Amino acid sequence: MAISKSAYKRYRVIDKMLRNKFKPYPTIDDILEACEDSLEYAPSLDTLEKDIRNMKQADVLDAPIEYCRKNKGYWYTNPNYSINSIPLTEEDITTIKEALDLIKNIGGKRVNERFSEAIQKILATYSEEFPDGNSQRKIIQTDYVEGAKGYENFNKLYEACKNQNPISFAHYSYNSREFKAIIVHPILLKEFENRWYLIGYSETHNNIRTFGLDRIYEPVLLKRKYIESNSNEVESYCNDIYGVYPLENQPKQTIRFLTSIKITNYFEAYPIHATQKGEKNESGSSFFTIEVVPSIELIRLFRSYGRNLEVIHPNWLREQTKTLL
Amino acid sequence: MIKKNKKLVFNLNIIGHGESNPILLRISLYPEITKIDFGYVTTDKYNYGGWIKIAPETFIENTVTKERFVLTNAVGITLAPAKRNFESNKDWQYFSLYFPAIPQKDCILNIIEKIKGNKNDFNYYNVALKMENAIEIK
Repeated sequence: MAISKSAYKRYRVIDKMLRNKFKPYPTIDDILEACEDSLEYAPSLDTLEKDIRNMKQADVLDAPIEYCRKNKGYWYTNPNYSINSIPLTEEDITTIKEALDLIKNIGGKRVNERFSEAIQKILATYSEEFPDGNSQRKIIQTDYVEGAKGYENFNKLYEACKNQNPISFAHYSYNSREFKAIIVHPILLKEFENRWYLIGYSETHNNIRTFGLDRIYEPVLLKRKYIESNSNEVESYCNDIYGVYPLENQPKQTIRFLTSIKITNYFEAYPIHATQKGEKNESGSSFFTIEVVPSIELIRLFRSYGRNLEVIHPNWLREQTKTLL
Repeated sequence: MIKKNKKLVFNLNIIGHGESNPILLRISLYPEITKIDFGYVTTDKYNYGGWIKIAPETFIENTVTKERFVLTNAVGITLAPAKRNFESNKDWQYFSLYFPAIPQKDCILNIIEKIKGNKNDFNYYNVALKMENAIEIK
């Protein structure tokens, strides 16, 4: 259940009243008075009664609040209970805020909504204002652009990956220009060059495949046994690659390439794969090797450097990329 | 064994009776509605990919009982006579048609935009739904 910021502030007042050993069993009027003092407005009695009911709900705070007929007031049946029972230091709060800011920038609106509720819950407990994106000075910028296709399904696909829930969706292939209804056993969501992809075992293709989120239409969760892919295969598919679309029938292999003086520094500063190793020449150019499954994106990357990058090995890749040499 | 009145989906991928017809992707049977998903890809046949629309009289028909269920809603496609013009012959469109709920039992359906229509009309004949092929939706 989502909790608004204003409700949380009232919950904190109620919590404080119920934990006050010097004035136990506060009535609803006492709580109203405390709210008027602490907050900038006076909530209605109905609101406060509803707040108490909500606080008692297991999916909200599971607060052990009871009304004592004898003392005509509310009390915690567990004297150790408090909604402030999460020990956060000021440093923790700052770190959470920074992490949230980073998530907002990387994940954009779609992720922000998911996290903001949870973070808000924690920060409101500490009377910390949730960072308002509109008023905050932006200090981290990514190239995420609002309005990209496919993000509307992000949460559903995330849940499907998390819960290992098979899904059916319609898929459009940009290359073959074909629609197909597909059943996929999702493994993970992957971001590459600011685009998001679903990686999963496709029943239709009978192997692990990559699907761009922008080409996925109306995924539905299925009541179907999840097919677990071989963990080594998954690891290799996800890690032994630069990019997301491996070339078919190409195994993991050593790729050796030569970079010109102009671009060597960039490859040294930002390795394109974890396996990258370099051997610098006296001139400043460099030979690099990577151990990967060749991908469409790797070819695209190599081609993008034109004459500044030359594939040495394997020969077939050299042939595919030498047109611009 | 799937109980009746569940949410079921059939992944079908059936080509229509004309080469420029959309592909029938999925039929979903819900207790309240029947939803049919299509994917359309424009061709070189028309300038700028032509247009797309669906007749509001479109219906699905049980070939045995002859019971008909008329279109109740369309998402992603314009109801005729209005039409949506494409911009190129490399465009595509995903759309869904909604009909009243049909019984959740083995059946053969015709999906008819126009009775005795030509190859350009979105007609699909003898679409077999076998409950053993249905997948339950969560």
